[in-house]
Amino acid sequence: MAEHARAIYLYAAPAAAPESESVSAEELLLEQACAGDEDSFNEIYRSYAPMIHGILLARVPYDDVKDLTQDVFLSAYKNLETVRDPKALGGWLARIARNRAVEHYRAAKPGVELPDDIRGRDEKKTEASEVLAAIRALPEAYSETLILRLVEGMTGNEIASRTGLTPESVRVNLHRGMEMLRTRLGITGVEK
Amino acid sequence: MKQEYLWDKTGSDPEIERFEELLSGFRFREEPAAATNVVPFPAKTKGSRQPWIFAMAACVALAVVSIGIWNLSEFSGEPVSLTAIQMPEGTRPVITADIETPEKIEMTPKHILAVKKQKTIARRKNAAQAARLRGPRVDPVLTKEEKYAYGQLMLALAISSSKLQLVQDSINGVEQNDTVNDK
Repeated sequence: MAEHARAIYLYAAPAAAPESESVSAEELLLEQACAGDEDSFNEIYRSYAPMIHGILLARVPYDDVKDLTQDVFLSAYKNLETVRDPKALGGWLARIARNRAVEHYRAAKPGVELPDDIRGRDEKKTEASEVLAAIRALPEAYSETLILRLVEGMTGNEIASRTGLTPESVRVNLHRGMEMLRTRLGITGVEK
Repeated sequence: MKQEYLWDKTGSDPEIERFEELLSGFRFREEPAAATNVVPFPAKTKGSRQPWIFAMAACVALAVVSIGIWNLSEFSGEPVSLTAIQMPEGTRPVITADIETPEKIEMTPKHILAVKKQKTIARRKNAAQAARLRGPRVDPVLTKEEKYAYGQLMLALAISSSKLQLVQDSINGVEQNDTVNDK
């Protein structure tokens, strides 16, 4: 619980957006997508899909992430007109993804996860699954930021601009998250 | 410097690089086909559905319904015989429909009213029974175009039914006149 309390999850004020040029481009994209321009929506999809994928991966099994990413964009497409501030687009999409993950668990039938040491599995994959599980076990703000950094390959600034978090909170989440991840992996005995 | 690799990938950090390599299998990847021509969702164009398609569908439905109603009113129940009435020379022959009823009754205004009342009661009973069979009414959610098409269909049906009513009234009127003339 103390970990949760320490997790920084601050959202950037619209004025704190990194580059005014990218904001105006986003504004234009959103406007065109709202008007029904397919290419603009595809551009939004390309820009934000890794972020949505990462947010979902922090919460739901990998096999379901792809479908849920599509669901999030479908939902976004239907309600795109409700976004009043283009600068808030990333935060809005991230919120849809988090809500969708919660809904997924509400609707999902209880399943049994396969053990990681299942025979015939690639050792590297097993180790990757262990690392991913360790990241998922971290407080939400840390796990989400770490997955966006380590899995989706986004830089700190990209994470901040896409999710709507302040760069400072992303930096803190990354460093604290990495510290906790090292500790957890040390406890579980995974070779670093 | 290690801290900077975590933030913006400058420099190097073997531990983080190893994590990245391990976890790269979980990374988001666009489908090969989608990478060149990504159309994740259908185009959202306002008024993309052509209204004339609905109008045409409404016309076809109207034609089918009209033919059905016409056939029912013409051939249901007792046979209808058409007879030409002998008219004096120089006048145009008038063709009239003489509907054979099982028993000829005198059609006084009282009778007409009673028959109409019976018909109304029967119709209401049928409607109530049909409503019971249908169960609770669930209003369908219609799009704007579907609502428009529905409105057009209803209007067309209303027009056709009023026309049919006129035809039926004129037939009844002729029949009544004939009964009066026979007397």
